[in-house]
Amino acid sequence: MKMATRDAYGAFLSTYAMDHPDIVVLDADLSKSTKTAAFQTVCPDRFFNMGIAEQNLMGVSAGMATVGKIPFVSTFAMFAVGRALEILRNSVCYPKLNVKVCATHAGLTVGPDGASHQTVEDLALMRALPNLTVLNPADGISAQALLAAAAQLEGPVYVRLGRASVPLCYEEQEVFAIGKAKELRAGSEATIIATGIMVQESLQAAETLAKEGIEVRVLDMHTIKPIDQEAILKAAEETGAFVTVEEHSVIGGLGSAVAEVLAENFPVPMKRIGIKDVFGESGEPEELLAAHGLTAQKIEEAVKGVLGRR
Amino acid sequence: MAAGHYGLSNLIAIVDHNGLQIDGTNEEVMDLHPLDAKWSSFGWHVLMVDGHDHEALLDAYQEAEKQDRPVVLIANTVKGKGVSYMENQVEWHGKAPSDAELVQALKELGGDPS
Repeated sequence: MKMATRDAYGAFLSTYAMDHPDIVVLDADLSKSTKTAAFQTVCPDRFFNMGIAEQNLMGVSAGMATVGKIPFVSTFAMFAVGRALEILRNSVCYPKLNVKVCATHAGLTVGPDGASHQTVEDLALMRALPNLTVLNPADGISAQALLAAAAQLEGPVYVRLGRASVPLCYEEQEVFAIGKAKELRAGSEATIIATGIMVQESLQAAETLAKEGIEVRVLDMHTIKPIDQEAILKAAEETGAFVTVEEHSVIGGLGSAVAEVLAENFPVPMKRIGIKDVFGESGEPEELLAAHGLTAQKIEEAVKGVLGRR
Repeated sequence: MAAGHYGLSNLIAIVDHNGLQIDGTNEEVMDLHPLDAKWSSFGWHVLMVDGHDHEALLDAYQEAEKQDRPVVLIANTVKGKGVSYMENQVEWHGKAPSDAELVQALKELGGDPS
C-alpha cells in the first residue's frame, strides 16, 4: 500500500486534531495541496486561510499560540522555511511558542513543479534554529504517529511532509518517540541511516546486500533534531561503517548531523547520499530520484564503498 | 489585510509616525504617502492623532472601541521629542546615548539623572 505523507497529515487532522479543541489549522492558499482542506471540512471554525502571505501566516500562528492554541501551520516547505524564515525564527522559535509547522511538498518528489518548489535545504535551515524540533517521517503511518507526538510536545516543531505516494514501511499501531531512531533491520557489518522517503529505498538496498551476504543495519532517523546520538554511537561501535541517505542536500541535513556526532565521538568511514549541492529540476518523482542518485542501487554501492574503507 | 478580511474589531494598531527611518526620511527612502489611504484600503478604520497629546490619544482609543473593524491610530510624532540633540535627527533612530548624553537627556525631560 502506498500513501503520501501529506495525505497522512490530512488524515491526522480530520481525526486527532478534530478531537483536540485547542488545535487550530492555518494555511496560505494551498489547503487542497497540503491537505488541511480535510480539516476545514470537518472543523471550519478552527481553520484559518491567511491567503498568499506566509510571513503573516507564521506571525498569526505565533499569536494564537500565545493564547493557548496549538496551531498546525501549513504551506509548501519552500515557502514555510524560505519566505517565512525570519518570522519562524524570531516570533516562533525564539519565544519557544507551541507552533507546529507542517510543511508539505518537500524535496525533489514535488515533481514537475521543478526547482523553484523543490526544497532541498529545509532540514539544514531548520536544524540551525534553536528550540525547534525537526521531524521527517518515512511513511504515512509514522507521519500520523509523529504528528500526534508533535501535538503533545510543548514547543515549536517542524514536520517535513511529501507530495508523492510512497510505500508503507511500518504496520499500524507502531510506536514512535521523538528523538529515538527506529531500527528497521538488524545488521553488524555497516549501518544505513535514512530519513523520510529514503528509508524504504534503504530497506530495499539492505535486502539486496543481505542476499550477497552483507548484513546491514537500517535506522529510520525520523527525528533530525534532537538527533539520536545514542543510536548513532551504538551503531558506530557495533558496525563501524556508515551510509546516510536523505532526499535533501548533502549539506546540513541528516548526513551532516550524523557526521557531526561521529567526528566528535567515534569517527568511522562514512558516505553521505543526498542531493549534491544543486537545485532540482522538473520531472517525475522517480526520474528525479534516479537522476540524483537516490536509489537502492546507489545505496548498495555506497555501502560497499565504506566497507572497503574500514 | 488579514485583519480587515477577518473583521477584527478588537484590534488597534498604532503607527508611531515620525517620518524618519534609518537611512533618511520616509520621503527619501520609500515614500509612504498616502499612509491613511493605504490602511483604509485594507479595511481598517483610520484615526489621525497627535501622538504627543495624551488626551487626544485617550479620545482616539474610545473612538476605536466603537468601530466594527480594525482601527489604526496614525500617531504623528517627533522622533526624539523633548531631547534637544535628538529631535528629528535620523541618526538617533537606533543609537544609545553615552553616559553624558543620557544625563543631559534626562535633565531636559525633567527627570532625575542621579
